[in-house]
Amino acid sequence: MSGNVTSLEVRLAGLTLANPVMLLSGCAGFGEELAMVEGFDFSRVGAICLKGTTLHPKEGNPPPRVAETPAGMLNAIGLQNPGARHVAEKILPGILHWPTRFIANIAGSTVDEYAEVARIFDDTGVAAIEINISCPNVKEGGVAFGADPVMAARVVAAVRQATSKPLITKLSPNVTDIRVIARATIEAGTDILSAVNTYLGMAIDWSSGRPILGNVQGGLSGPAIKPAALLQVWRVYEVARHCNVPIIGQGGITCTRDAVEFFLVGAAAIGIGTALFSSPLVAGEIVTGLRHHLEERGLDGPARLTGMLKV
Amino acid sequence: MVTVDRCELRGMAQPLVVTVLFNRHLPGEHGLLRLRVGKVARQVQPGHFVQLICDPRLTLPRPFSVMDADPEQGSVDIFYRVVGEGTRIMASWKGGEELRVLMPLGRPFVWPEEKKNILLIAGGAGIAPVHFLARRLVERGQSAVLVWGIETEAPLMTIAARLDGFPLDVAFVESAEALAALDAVGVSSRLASMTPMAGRFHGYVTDLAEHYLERSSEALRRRTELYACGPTVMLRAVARLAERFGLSGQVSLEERMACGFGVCAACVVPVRQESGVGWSYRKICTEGPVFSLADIAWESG
Repeated sequence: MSGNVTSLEVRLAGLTLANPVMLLSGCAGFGEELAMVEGFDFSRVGAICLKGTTLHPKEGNPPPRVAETPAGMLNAIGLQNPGARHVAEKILPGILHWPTRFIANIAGSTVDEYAEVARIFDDTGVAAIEINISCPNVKEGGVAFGADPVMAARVVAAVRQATSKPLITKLSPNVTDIRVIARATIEAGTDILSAVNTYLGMAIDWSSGRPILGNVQGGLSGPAIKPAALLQVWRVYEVARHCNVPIIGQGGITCTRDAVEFFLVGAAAIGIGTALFSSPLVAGEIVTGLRHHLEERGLDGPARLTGMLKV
Repeated sequence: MVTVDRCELRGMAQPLVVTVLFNRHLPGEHGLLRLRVGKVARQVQPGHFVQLICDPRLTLPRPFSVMDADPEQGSVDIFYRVVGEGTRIMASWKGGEELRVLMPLGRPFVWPEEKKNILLIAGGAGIAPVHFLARRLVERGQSAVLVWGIETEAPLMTIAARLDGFPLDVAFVESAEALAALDAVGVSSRLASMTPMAGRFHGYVTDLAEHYLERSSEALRRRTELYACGPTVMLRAVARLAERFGLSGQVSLEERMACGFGVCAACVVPVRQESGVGWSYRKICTEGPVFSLADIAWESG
């Protein structure tokens, strides 16, 4: 095996990426902001999932929108975005030529809205469309769709009709059994699963007796959720492996070791989110670390790690 | 209206490992940190901020306005008050520590025209960018008056008294002039606090600013601009002052922040639409932290 040449390229259903490290939606803006950081190399990132986009512009939630918590943070941005047409016409033309893949992340408050946003992005150069049925911070849609297998399937089926691009469904961990939702969305036509979005939570200012977030509740992310996210990915893998549906594993990854753990429980690619806020260049470091890890073990690619947990 | 020109910001924020040169404990649980940052100090302007990793175990960096930058020495100063876990860790630094920062960030104050008289208003640790601006204005020979609301023993004056020639005293060396400017209109204090303290104006710092404006001549008032940083309630009062006296100005805002470079959309403020109708949330980190006073929709959001 040591004679094998290691390649980081991964094929996720119809989506081919130069490496399996992605930047997650909501943590990478609309891509262009990253250009502000000196040394940020787009060619070192497998793909960038753009901020969740709705049909019409959304102002989002009143601040404060974030709160640090032990080994993590809460956010309640509320899908602030300029609307799908603005993203497609004004933002994408400025970024699509950069040397990475861009993935649209779509959200809506009705099934029809998801489909309409998908139709808008179908007509652009994005590499795939990620369906966000797990945003915990909006009153309608979001996690309400992601917690109900019938509704989740309906959204995925409607988007499937609206686009021929590879479809990713981003699952919520705020459910009794994530396998039920995973199965329903696979049957409805998703090509790839993304697991998991944030955990519902809240933070209190004990001295004033008030919630810290303007939205009262938010989504918990960061290293605090990593053990819980690993289990969810492992569960999703139970279902997805039989259908050859690849998983983008995510939840508190900050280093190569974390990334490898997600591969072992079934991920075919991994996503970096919260860690970008303190280390904007961390994705490139993880790509390098992952290559070393594979080379040391004589493995020809990340797929050799997927699901290799020894139990 | 502020718009982001991406080209201008491209590659501006540098991820660096910097060294703590010294860390001084000051009254009122304040501290002054000097960091050796190298060449980047040349790019730092009043109003810029840095994201500082207090401890790799904390999930988020902490944003601090730059208090001063020395291009020759390659250093920047950070003034902080101990309010939480991050600043408690900062307070334990002795000098020599290495830490990660991302800097410079944000958009600095826009320079006033030279004939303007600048009224600088600071609240608490909001002194940092205001002090930096004061220094640069004085270096340019611009007419400026600084008023500061501080509830503790004034930390910077203490430093000035203790350390001969320490650069931080500049605003207060300048203050001979600033005090004279205040004296000239019958305002004898530059510091304000809500608890009565000897030699200080008793009340809000914006009340002190109001006294100054009320007693200034019409001619002086007409060429006065307000530059402020402090708690939101103070900035709202500054906005009311500006409205009452028909003055323009700039404010440096703060809000709970995650990334500091625009990707997370956490630190927003309601900004009036150019059309004049309604407002929209703008990111403080990339479109601010300095905004024109008139652009903020203080009543909204």
